Amino acid sequence: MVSFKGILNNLKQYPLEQGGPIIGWTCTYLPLEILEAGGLQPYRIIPEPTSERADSYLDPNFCPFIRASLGKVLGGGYPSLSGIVLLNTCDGMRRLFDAWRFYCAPSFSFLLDLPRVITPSSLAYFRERLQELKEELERHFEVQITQDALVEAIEEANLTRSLIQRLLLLKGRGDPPLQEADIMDILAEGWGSPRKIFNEALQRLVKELEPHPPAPLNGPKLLVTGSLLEGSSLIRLVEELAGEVVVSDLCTGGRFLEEVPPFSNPLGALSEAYLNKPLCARMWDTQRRIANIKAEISRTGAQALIYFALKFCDPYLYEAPVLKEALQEIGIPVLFIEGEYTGKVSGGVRTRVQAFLEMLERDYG
Amino acid sequence: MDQGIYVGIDIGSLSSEAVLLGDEGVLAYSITNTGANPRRAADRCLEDALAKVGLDEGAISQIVATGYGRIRVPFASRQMTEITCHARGAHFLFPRTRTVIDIGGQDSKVITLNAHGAVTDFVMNDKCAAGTGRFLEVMADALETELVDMGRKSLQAKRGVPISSMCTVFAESEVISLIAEGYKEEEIIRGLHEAISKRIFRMAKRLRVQEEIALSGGVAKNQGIAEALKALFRKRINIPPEPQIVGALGAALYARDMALGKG
Repeated sequence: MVSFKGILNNLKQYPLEQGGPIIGWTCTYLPLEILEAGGLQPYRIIPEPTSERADSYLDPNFCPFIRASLGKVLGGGYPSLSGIVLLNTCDGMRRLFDAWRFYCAPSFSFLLDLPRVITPSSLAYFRERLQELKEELERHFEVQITQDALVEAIEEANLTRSLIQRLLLLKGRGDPPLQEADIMDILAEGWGSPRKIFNEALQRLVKELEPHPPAPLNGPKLLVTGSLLEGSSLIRLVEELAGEVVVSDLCTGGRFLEEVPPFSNPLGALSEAYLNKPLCARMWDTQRRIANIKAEISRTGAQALIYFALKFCDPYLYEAPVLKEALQEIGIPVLFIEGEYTGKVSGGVRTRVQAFLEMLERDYG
Repeated sequence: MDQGIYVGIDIGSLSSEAVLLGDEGVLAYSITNTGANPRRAADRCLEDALAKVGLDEGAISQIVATGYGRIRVPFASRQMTEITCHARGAHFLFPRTRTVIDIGGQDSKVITLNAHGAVTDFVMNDKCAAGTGRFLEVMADALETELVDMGRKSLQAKRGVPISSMCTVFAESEVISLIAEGYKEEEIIRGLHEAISKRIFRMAKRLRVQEEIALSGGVAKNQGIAEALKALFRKRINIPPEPQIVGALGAALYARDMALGKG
């Protein structure tokens, strides 16, 4: 594949800090469009997978992402951040917010309350919370987040999502062929890049790949769902072992690629689109998440599912058995992997993935 | 026409095995310690097995490597996981097998398979030593007994002493306290076997376990474990004459498939 990083770095003319105050975020339920409409630069917090400093406070049987984040906070955090916006997705995340304010005292911090249910009243509530976030950002950073700026930010973010969708259609093209692990690496580049430059780089990559002849990938088609993956190594392993990952329904994958539909009220449109996006297991309605996944399986022709849960991630670990049973009932085998937040794949994970692919080749292929 | 020689090599964390398969069945096998160098272990067990039937490497038609060290066997033409190979090996030995319980040196797994010996689901514990051969080794040391005697001794006890801790390190100190409290060695060993078996049983419950069950891996040589598992599963459990070579046998069967153009 053409180096996306190369294209992107050539386009970056100034360091990230010069593109406006940087706001750290962790959860994909945060509409980044609101920050971008205020001239603020979002930056996704994906701490290095070490937690030595946090080990004195949290035992090893706590969420490794929270441990790594707390480790980062105790080490001084991210000096380039002008603020953080976290969501109360789980207890770990709420307490991380507290610890962050205590140890790093960012000049701006906001905990966005995300409803678990999706009803007309929760939508209205979420819209109010987004309004509150917008006003707090305006007050603190002395900016105006106008309707026009919001509309423009949504259009620019829609462009990102549609470009990623186009890239997904180009999988298999190029040399080496573009695969889902590359898409995940590309998404990760976007978390630390100004959106306009990221979009420009995506456009160039699409243009480079489009003339290549279509080249179908031949392995068993797999859907991957789960929580947060550090890097793309697990997806790359599946693809190295000749599985074809058709969807990465992950917090760090291509879970939300639908465009925000046309609207008259931008904040209302954002609250509706984000609350209704393909569900994270943290949300209330497991049946709806199962239905989403079944729909994706029939859309893509996936033959099997790999379920990845970060160690000690309660929302996913509690959901896994229900989802496995629901899919086995329709003849879709499920591989469950409980993983570290290390960016590396252990020998045990390799054996499980390889055995699962061997099973698909022999029995279901 | 010369007989084909198909080889399966299983490089496990503690022991390595080679099986030589002919067109009529198993010709020879060997078992060796893996040690610190899996590649050397692969060479050694293959040489030993070949020497038993007076053959050299030139006679080999096809080699499949399996086990955690499978990627360290450069002369194998294919690597397959021990999960797929244990299922195939157990199905060859006992064609009615639908569940395999493999208790190896450093991990344990439960595999379900269909009537053709193909894997349908599996679950694997490689996170902690409890429920593995290593656990028994540590306990044998604590009790100052030989690993090979544990099965026989446990069957002499009328009941097992409940072992509450399943962490290898804590269970070791618990065993030491039980010795100090005057419990009989046989009862403690039986309690350990019951604790390991319960752990395996709970893991197996995540799958749809069906009869018949086959045991594989070195720990299957321990009759005490086999009896404890039977009591829990209440199902027929088959134990191969040499449970340690089931994975290598499965690999050899896949090597034969490949040579005959079926793989």
